[in-house]
Amino acid sequence: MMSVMQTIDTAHDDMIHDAQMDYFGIKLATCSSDRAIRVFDVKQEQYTLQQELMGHEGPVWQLAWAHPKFGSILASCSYDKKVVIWKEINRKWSPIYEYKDHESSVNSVAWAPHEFGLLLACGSSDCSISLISSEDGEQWDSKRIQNAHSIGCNAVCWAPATSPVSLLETSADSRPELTKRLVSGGCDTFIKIWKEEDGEWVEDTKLEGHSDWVRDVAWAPATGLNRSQIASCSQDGRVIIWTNNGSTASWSSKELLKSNDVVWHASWSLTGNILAISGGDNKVTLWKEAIDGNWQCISDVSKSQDNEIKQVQG
Amino acid sequence: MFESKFIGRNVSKVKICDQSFGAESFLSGTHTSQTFVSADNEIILWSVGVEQSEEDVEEPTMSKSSSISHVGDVMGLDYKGGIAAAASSNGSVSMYKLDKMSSSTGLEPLHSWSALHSFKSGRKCPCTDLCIEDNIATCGEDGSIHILDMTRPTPVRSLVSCDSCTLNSIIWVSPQSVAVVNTSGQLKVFDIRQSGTQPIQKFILSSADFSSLNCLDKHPSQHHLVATGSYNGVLGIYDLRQDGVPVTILEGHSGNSISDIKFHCRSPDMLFTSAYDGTVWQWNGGKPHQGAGDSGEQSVWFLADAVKHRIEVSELTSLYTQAGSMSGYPVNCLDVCNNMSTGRM
Amino acid sequence: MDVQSDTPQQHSAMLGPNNKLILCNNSTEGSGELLFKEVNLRPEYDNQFVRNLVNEMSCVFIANQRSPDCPMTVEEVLHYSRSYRAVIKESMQHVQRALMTEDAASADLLDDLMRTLVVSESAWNLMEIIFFQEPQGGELALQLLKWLSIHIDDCRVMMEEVMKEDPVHHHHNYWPAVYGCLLQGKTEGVMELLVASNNTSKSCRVLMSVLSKMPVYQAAGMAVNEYEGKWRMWREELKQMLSQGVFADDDKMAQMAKILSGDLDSILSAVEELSAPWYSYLMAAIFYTQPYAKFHQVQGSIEGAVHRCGGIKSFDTHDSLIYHILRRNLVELMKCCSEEFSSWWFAAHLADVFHQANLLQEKNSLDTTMRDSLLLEYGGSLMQDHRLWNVGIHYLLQCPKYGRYHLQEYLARLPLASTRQALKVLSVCETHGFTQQASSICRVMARREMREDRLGSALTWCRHGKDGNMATIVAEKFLDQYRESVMLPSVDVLDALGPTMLLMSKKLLFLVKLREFHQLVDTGEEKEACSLLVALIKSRTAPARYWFLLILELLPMLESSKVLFTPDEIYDLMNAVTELKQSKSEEMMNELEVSRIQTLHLSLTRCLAKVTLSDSNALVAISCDV
Repeated sequence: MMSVMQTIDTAHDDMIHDAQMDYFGIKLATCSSDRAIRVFDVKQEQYTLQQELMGHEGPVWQLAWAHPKFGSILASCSYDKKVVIWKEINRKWSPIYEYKDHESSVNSVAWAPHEFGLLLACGSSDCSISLISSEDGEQWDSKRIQNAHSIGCNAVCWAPATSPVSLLETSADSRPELTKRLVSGGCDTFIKIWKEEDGEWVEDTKLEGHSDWVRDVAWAPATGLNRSQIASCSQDGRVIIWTNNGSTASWSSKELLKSNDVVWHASWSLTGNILAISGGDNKVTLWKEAIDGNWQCISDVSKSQDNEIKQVQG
Repeated sequence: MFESKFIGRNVSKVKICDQSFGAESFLSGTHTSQTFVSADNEIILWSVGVEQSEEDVEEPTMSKSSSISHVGDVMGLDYKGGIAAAASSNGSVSMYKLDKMSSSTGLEPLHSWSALHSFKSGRKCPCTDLCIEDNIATCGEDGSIHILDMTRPTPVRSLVSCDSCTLNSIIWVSPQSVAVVNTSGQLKVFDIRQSGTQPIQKFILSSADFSSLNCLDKHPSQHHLVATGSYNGVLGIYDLRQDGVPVTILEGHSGNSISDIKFHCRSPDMLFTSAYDGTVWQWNGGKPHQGAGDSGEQSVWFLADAVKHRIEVSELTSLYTQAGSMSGYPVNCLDVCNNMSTGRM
Repeated sequence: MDVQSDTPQQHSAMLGPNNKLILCNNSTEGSGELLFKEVNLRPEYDNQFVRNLVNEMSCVFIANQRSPDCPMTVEEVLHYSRSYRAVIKESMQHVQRALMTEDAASADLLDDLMRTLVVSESAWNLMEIIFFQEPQGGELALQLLKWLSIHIDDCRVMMEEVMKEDPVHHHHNYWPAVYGCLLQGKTEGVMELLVASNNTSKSCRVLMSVLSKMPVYQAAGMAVNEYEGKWRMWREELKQMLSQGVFADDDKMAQMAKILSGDLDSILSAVEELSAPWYSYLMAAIFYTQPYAKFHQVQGSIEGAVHRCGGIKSFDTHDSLIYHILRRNLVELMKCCSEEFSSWWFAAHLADVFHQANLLQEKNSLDTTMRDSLLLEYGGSLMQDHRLWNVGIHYLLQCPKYGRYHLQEYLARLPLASTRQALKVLSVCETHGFTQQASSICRVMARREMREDRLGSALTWCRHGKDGNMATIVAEKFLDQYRESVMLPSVDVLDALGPTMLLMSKKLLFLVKLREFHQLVDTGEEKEACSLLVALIKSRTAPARYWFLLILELLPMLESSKVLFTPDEIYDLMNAVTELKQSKSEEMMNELEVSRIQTLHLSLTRCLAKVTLSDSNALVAISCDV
């Protein structure tokens, strides 16, 4: 089911916190506690360092690639309370905008679906979420959601822009107006869904289920129906799948996993058919929703045993 | 009567060899369409034979007689008098000798011109097509045209950035001039003896209904008569003696992108187009003429209105679908001789 | 309070494009490596034979899609199913041929593929018999044995070998060949082998006579119950002989007689000696205990056989497949196919055959059929292969609920390696009405061309995507170059630009008008040129920051001896110059600019005077603030 393709040495001097492939999978960006961001060109299985981006004054936590229709744009956030937006011009990367209004570490950045233009959400330890946007990549505006999560916001993620209903229609011109929605997770153990109404960001739903800090939230790509799904993982060792069937406002929850260690990260595949979960117990598991609606662990990889691949029957 | 074969690769180009090599042979090139230059491509020499089937009917067969690996996608492929040349997505052109005596190779690499086509930044870009006459003419995504003497290591004439768009295809229309088509729907003719990079003639398919021109071919005997195929399925017929606009415009392939166009070399009142919707059309401009060329009268293709009424169109790929193979996939290329071959995907 | 630095995030795994899992591998020492793992949910498409198979099967698939209103008849389903099997068989021949020529390195891969193909083909064949042919009593046992002998033909091979030896029974495979034939119900083969051995013992003679008397079911001309009666009589006789100890003098003959009489222990031990699979036992057991049985009558035998052969847990993939087919358990069968087979092609196509036969109608929690979800998986795996995405499209399009959405996502991620590839993907998007993806492709290409300083080409992509915003960005680049060099680049594209584009971007409109001005000047139509430019300034189609440059372009015309302007036009220009001057405070302007503006004013004034003099009817008050 899973095979090690290769290992690459990023040559970061400290711990790596994030690694992101761009839209087409031809560039890779990594960030680390060594304050650096490194961008690699990916050709076949070759990774060549294109440039090291220095600019942050603390560990860089997370990266996000903008859609290629805006050009080559990368956002980064750091312990230094800054969000930096980088752009590649003539094969050279340079910062085009710095957002410095957060009062504490910025933990998460995520670009909105490209239909909404250049719009970035950032979650910070100062309890707020900021939304940074630009029409042309030159002038930048920002909005704030104050006190989004008490003690701090750890993760932000956007809902897909595709309004599920319109997918079934063949004519794309009659798309209904889309609502911007995003989900955030924080130290208050809550998961909150926010939506924009008349230009203001308001809380739409609060999901309670975790008993400790929420570490990551991931909204599943739209699969063509009314259903929405969010995966959340937490310090309490649990992974929860939240499902909204589209006809009511309520979300049902299903516990995917309960482990004794922190679960750090949740990541969906392109069409939402696979969910990757990484935890503090040195384990990465891959999950797939079976035809009967139950979640099956299709693969279980321990990072400490790189070459030993175990398969778990669902 | 036809024979089809899956070769497990995406065929980008086919070219039937002429009598000098034996009309029973043709070449094909493959593409992988990856963002990096892949060495996983090849040029294959096929031979076409005839086999008696069980019912004593003659069935054509094709078999691979030799192949040679090619770096980058094969974007263009041409053959003339024992020489073949291929245009690569990495901007280079390579030339081969076809030798039917040597059974081991069949395709012998002769010479290559590397990195002919590139952008100002130095980044290589695809050489999109080429055409062999006495010299080889090439065109690329950089909007440049190069003329290569087969015996010289560097181009004998280069029209750098003579077009602002991607040039999709190139043909020789006289010993001194080449015709090209581009993505903004223009057909241009360049005189390679003149200095400067201005075309001597310029045609626009239609300024209101813009579409990329993907391919072109010239009438086998009346070289001023050129036909183009467009992204929106339009067949354009041009008289190079009159500037400006096509003489005739015909719509086909249900508006799907035309990938290749060829006149029948013996009966030039017939021409063929292939398209990404998986169809091959035969356009019949009049009664098929016997023998080479036609009588010097005004060609049927120029009689705009008359043509529209007289043209018969038949879809050839219905043959394929009946046989249950090759349905619905893009036809990337075709070549016509007495026989015809197409390549898909 | 600091959220993360106290417990740094050690572990993260991201699913990148093409199901590539990226792991941050932070060792205790800090510095990081990245680990790439391929989540391999796709079969080995790098193998050319697999790609051929995929292509050929897709043609069968496409040609056999029906609307739900007109389902296939049984004959059509059978024909459909057999077409797939023909493709698999042909593929087996290709691989077989290659195996004879390939070197050892790739032979392993081909061996694996061959095994998969063999298993698929035999399972598929049995599936046809059980689900679609539905043989009646009497025929079922014969059909099963026929299937068995096609797919396990070692007894035929052994028999040929054995018959070459003289005397035959000295060959080490003599008895395995005899039992092999017996287990597959090939009584003629058994007879042939017995005759050839010149065994003159009594028990052998008796056995041969029993064999020759064994009733054979013939579909034409014999009712099943008539056959059943005859068979029961024959078996009663045999059983009597056995109880009378007729075969006691020869162990082999005795065992054969027991098998013929339907003694399950004897059948099982013969199967075990030959290391034949469990279904070999089952089919022999059915043939010798209930050869007249209908499908529902053998279900007990199937369970019994599973039990006797070690239980379902001991089964490998092929064994389980055969079991689920024989049990007609579609859900388990499909599950087994999709879980155990590395390649989706088998499960997906099989599911579609069942779907067309109207056998797969159940819905699951995702409100989609099993067939749809298998097609989505298979189509998705093809879409992610750069050589097979064209094939994948057809599978996704056949999934009514999710297919189009998945297709959009995959199409948007196809690499745009060349203009040709971009136009090809674009045409797919446009054909299927994916306007979002289509415009996104155009914009990505426009950006790319702009990066390479190919402004004309970039504009052509904007035009294709009818993208006014991007056209404005590109037009600005054009104007930047104009400001630097007073020359417009890529004029061939500007000249060919149709009218529709100009409505979408004001900048572009200005750019094209500017080009028109240059053309008018070039062709000597100076008066028209001047009017055009003045109109551009007056209507403010030309942004103020270009005015200066534009008026400079007019300078030769202002100084010309010919009268090229109307007084109104000169006033308009004067107003523009005044406005320009006011918009910039004195200290902001450098000396050059100040002197240029003065020059302009002077020229304008002179020109106005000239115009006024030449036109005596005009009453003009000259008042300028220079």
